[in-house]
Amino acid sequence: MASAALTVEGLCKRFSQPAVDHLNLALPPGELYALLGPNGAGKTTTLRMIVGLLAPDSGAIHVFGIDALSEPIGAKRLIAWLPDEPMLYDKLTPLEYLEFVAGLWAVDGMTAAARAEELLRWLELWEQRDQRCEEFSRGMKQKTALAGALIHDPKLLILDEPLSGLDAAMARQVKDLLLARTKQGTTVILTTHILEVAERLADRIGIIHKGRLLAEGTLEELRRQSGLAGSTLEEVFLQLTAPVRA
Amino acid sequence: MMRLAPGSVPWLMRHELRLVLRTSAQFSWRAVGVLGAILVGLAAFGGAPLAAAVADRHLVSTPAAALAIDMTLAVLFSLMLSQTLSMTVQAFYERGDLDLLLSSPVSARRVLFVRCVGIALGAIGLYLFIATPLLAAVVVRGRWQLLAIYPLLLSLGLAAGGVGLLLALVLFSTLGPRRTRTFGQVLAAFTGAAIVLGFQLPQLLPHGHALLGEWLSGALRRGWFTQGSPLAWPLRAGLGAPGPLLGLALLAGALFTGAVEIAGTRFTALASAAAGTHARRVRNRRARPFRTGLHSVLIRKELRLIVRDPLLLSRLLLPVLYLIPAVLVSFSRGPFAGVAASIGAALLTLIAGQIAGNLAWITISAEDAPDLLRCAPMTPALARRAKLLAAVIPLLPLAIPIAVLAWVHPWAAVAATVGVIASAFANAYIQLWYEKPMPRRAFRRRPPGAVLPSLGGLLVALGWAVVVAIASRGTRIALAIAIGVALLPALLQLLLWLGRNREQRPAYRRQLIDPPPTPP
Repeated sequence: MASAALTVEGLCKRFSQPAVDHLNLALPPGELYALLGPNGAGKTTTLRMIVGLLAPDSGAIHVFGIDALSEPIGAKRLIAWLPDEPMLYDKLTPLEYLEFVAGLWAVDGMTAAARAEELLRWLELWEQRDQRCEEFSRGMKQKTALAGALIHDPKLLILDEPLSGLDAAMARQVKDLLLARTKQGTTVILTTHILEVAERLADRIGIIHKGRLLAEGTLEELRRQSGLAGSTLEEVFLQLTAPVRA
Repeated sequence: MMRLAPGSVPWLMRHELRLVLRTSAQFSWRAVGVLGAILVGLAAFGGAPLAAAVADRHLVSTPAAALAIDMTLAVLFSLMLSQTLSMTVQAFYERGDLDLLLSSPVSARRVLFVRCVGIALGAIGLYLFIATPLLAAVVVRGRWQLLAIYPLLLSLGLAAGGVGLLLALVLFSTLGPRRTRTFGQVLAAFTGAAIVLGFQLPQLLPHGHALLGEWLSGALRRGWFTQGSPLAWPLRAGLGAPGPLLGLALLAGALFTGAVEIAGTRFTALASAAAGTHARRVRNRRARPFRTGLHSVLIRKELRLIVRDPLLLSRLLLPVLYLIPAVLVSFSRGPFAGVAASIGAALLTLIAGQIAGNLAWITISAEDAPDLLRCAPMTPALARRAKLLAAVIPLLPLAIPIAVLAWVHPWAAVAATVGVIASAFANAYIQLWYEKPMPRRAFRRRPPGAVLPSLGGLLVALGWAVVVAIASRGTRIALAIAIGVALLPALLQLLLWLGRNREQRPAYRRQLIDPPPTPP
């Protein structure tokens, strides 16, 4: 267990009906894992439980060997969370926002300032560093939030629809960054509705529906499981979720 | 349903009315019951005695009554103007359906006219609500001519709407669209307070009351308010005299249509200028090391957000403005200096409680990124402590009046210091117990807040003010009262606990430890 970046065992969460139903996941360090599923499948609920925003009804979550349920603060130190709606303060500038987030994660002041400059330059926001976020477009807000997620150099990056609102060039840049980070050892788990993204980026893909993991593996393994050799992920996804959707 | 010509004024008015009805509070029998009870209460305890008082009297305009009515209408006008100015400025910035309407072939002037009529009507709504049960009781006793108060109020609303629009135009022309947004709202808030503060001016001036009395009696002697004078028109119009009523209505109508006419030519340009007002002049700073420390970053963030929302700040601090002249009076020396100092110390305590309560309500409940704080590696208790401190830190300038008080009356200053700290922290803690997280922008238009914490906070602040007033006179009974007041917040928490049903109580206990999760 100590070697895994993230393990989820028998995770359950019920609202009016089961949202996550005995889910098991195990991600080794440096893996990029894509969690796919139709709307309401339980993807975001799963991620929110891992991050510590939602208490599970039962099950266990370990982040680099730390029990995230009994030692949440220790686990949170290693995690960054980027939801589809950016967690920003409209009246703060990107630089002030990054200073705030770095302070929350207790990053050293010099290191944080240097990292903030690097991130904002890379995200093409350096010129707007002292402009308030209320003046930003949806994409710029998403980029600022992404910088916030990366400022404390997390070991586990959890992203919910990270490319929503980004233009094609920036989406490409983010995809490249995610690949580079995983090569450096960061573990990434993301949800997306753009199957092409998962197909191109993910080491492994998990498909969930109604809170249950229907299939998991590399694209090739999923093709085998669905019996659609040589087909696209879209075809595999539709094939695997078809019986459940029906 | 009557078919109205699309794009006509009545058609646009129906559209506005529909939007207002659908965005206002949802219908509930409870609300209807409360409103009905208020109306009946006003009719029984206000309308009936009023009707009895005027039943057998011959209502004529006297100079003293004309002066009193003029002053009352001046207060009403300033309050209405405050509302119309605020709503007019808001109408330019809050896009809503403005882009749709202005991109349609309907004339911009017509759109503005309808919007301004809505604003004027909105400004008199509360006064119509209060006046109706009072007038109903009077009319039942045969004084139907007092129904003229309705068109008089409408005229006042139209005049306030016109002046509000003209003021907004002046602000746009002089300050530009970006500054108008903030300054207009702040000006609107202070317009409402200006006349109340004006009435307190005689207290601050040496021999102020005597001077005012002299001036007023001189004005009455010189016949400024006699029946033929235009200054007596408001009273005569309210009593149903057709000439003055028509005169005032025409004046208000001309002011309103004139303002719409002037603004109409520039409305599209102003509205589109207002649409791009987010762009601020930015001076990029040089890179510097980030400040660290959890408490410090949390407090700095809260203070930054408070300072950068002047509209919210002005609304929250406005009630405090009304108390400042009274505090200034308390620094006076003389035979009653001791009493004045006690009152001053008590008022400072009251002010501290109100400011801390209002700010804590914002820092604790208005959180744009609650998930960011919850997924950060820190305990929720730490975040709350920082938010409480952020609400109390802006009270530090109160040290200045306390220092002045110490010079005049040291014991009152000591009592004020203790009272200010106790009142501020008690109020901040009450807001913490009644925490209702929601985005900051939700606090801007109609501040949502439970009645119990507001009233409870006021009660606690008043309690500490009384303790301080008594203590600064050196009376020992203050200690006993202080113990009672210190227990008040605990009583409020008990009420909160009992107000929740049995199923909610364990969840509430958990909420005290960890905030409730947002549903996905």
